[in-house]
Amino acid sequence: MHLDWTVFTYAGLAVFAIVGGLIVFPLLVWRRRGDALPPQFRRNVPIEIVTTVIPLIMVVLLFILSYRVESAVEHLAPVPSVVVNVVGFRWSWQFSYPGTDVRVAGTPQRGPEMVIPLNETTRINLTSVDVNHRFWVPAFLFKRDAIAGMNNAFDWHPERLGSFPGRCAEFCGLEHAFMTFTVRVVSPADFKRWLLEQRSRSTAYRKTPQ
Amino acid sequence: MSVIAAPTPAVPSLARRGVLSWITTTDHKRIGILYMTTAIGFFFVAGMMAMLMRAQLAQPNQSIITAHQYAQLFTLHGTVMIFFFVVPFALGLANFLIPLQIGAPDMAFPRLNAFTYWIFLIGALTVMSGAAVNGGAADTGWFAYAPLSGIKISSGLGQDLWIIGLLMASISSILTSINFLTTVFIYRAPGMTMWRIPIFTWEMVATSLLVLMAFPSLAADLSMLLIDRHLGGHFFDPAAGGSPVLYQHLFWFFGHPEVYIMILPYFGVVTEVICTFSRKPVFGYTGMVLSAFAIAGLSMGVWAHHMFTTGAVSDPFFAAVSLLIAVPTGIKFFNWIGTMWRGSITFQTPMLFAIGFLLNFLDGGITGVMVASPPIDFHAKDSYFLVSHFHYVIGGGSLFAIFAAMFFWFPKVFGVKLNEVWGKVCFVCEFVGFNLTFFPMYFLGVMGMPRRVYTYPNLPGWGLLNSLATLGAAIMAVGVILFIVNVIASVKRHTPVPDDPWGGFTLEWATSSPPPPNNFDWLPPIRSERPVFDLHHPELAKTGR
Amino acid sequence: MKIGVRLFLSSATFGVAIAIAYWFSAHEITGTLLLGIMGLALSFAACYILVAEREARLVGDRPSATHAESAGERVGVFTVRSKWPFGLAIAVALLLIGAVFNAPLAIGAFVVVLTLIGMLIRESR
Repeated sequence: MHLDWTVFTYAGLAVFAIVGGLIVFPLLVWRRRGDALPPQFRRNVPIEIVTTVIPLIMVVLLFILSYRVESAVEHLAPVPSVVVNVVGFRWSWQFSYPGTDVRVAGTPQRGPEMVIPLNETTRINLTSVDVNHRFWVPAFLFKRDAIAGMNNAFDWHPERLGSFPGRCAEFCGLEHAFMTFTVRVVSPADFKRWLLEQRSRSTAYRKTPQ
Repeated sequence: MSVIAAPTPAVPSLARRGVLSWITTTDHKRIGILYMTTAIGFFFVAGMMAMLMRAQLAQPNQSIITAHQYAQLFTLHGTVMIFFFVVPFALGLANFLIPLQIGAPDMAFPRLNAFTYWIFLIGALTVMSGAAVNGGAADTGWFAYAPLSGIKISSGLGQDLWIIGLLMASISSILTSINFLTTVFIYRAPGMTMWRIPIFTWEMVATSLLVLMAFPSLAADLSMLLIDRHLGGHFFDPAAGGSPVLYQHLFWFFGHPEVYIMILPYFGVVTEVICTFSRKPVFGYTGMVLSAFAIAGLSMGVWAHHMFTTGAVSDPFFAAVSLLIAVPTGIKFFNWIGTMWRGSITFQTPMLFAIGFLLNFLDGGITGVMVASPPIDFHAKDSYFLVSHFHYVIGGGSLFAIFAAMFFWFPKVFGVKLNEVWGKVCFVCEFVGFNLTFFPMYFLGVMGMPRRVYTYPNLPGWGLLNSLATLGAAIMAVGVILFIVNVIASVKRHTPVPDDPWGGFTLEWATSSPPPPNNFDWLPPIRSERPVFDLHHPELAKTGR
Repeated sequence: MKIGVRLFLSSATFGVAIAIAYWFSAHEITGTLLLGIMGLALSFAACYILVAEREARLVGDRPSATHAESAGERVGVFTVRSKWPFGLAIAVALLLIGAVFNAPLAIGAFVVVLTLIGMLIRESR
């Protein structure tokens, strides 16, 4: 993911510098001095061909990079270590771990926390029970839509410990700004401990009054 | 053969006064003026909405306005700016210019033309009237995704008024395009072959084609939404076999071409301005025309890049076509650079705004290429990064071209020249203000701030960047006020304007400022894409094509 | 009128071609239908122009045509002023509003719309 961002950003900066320079250069060098008309040329076929072909090549290369990165990001492992079902609702999220009865739901005042293990594959199954929401963890550079009637599945393979904030990224009503959550990555051992703790207290989501 | 220009007395075509003469007019010049002034009026309204939003967001955790008010503001800001300012201004400018640029006396269907203006105005007022009804105006965003915009969750009248107003705007735009295409096909003056029409008119041909292809999808989508809301439909209701994704497909099949409808006319404006103030013909005329149609065509095939995160579309197809659109856009940029290259450049206000357009649109275009890559979009989508991207292309692009167009053609339309010094100050305010407002937003987006939030927590850097953005917006507002003052003062001063104050190339500069009712008392011979240039420089007149 | 036919025909071909490309790369029915129907609609326009304007020889299409050649030619009827467009806009607006909120209003507005269109046609005779 970072590779995609890095390449595109540097390519973008380079293009801005070059094309921006080409825009500014005539403004500095060919300002009007006197009444004589400048040479009235209208075309230069070699240049027109070059300025078509080079961007085309750049775009093809960028596509290849983009395709490879996306394929890697969207790859679904055959057997994930952990599965979390995520349900978006107005205005918070519910996380449940199938195979256990662990269920965590939040409120706009207090977003829920999802705990997942480090260096293992967690499968997220995402859906909504009302309007469209969008499940976004900025630290993972990733978001996916929660749409009623659809299940969106994706894998995370976190390589950093820590607590990462998440937000809703699709306007879903008046408390959209407060539809936050947290993803906490812990060691596999800590994860097992957390699951055991959670089994004893789980909260099903309550529909907040709209 | 050369024609000596006889001085044409300035026959004021706005001589017939009275409100009734404006209500019954079918003169394309008057209709163009109606469209443009109405559009600018809506710009002020939507701009003030933006100022309110920026005031609310200047600091974290503020409650200057409520979440509900904020939702109405961002919905109406987007809807009004897009449907009632940027597009109508272009259509109004084209209304004024196309017959003049091709040497025609009026549009092909003058009364249809008038109808399209009035239905657009009524549509705009219908959308805005939502603010006065119980429950307030539409508050589901300018794309009004189902199920949020469905009757269960958005039961208020405001949403229905929004839908009806947009249906009226659709009717207006579709009929206008038919008018434009017919006029350009049939009413070109002798010698004005298609390959000699000005680039602005070509861009309007491509825009009109896009409107015909895109707006029906919006009309269908909105009608389906109405049926779901009031007639027991379930198009977008998954519980009954429908799909929210269907709404998005139909919306974006319109929505993406819509953004090209918002920029192609302004590519044309910028081309005319750069040529005039570089005193050179457009570089690569053929390339400009072909790239306009390449952009229009490709833009019909990229719609689901707005749906990369739905998991319901083939991301690679749309990524590929979206990245591909950068190529014809690049061709245009290189052609603009080629036009300025070895030119003789002066920096009057229209040219300053055109240069601002080039730099801003370059920025927005580059970030557009970035979000065309799905992995980048997975982070940037619906964050402030995206908000910045699209404001750079529409605000930094279209809006700057609108200013360029106003300063460039104001003398032709009204017979009044706007003050140059205040124009330049206005440009500086707009350029500095615009970039100060939107550049920080790239960072806010990357840091994780989503769009459409009425407030945000006090995270490091978020408050400062937002404050900078609000400051920039205030500077832009100052520039707009200066523009208004400029208009009023210049109209009061009213120094007469010659036919051709800038040294223009195209036919509108061959007639008086403002033009007589029948547009032309005489026409120069048309043997190239620059008939007025050829008139003034017969020794350089191009022959052939 | 060649330009009209060319424009619509090439757009129609493009629409159909991209619909086919889309189907084979994405297998997604909604987008395929949208693109394909768009191509079909554009071809209707192309066919109409082709048939309707078969005999048109426009003076604007000849690169060496002079203004003298088209002097005195009847180009069309350009109405200078008309009261019907404004009224028609109001009637269409009421039709749409009635269609959502008040059926009798819609029916009444529909009748008015038809009447006004009739007046417009009569005006241009």
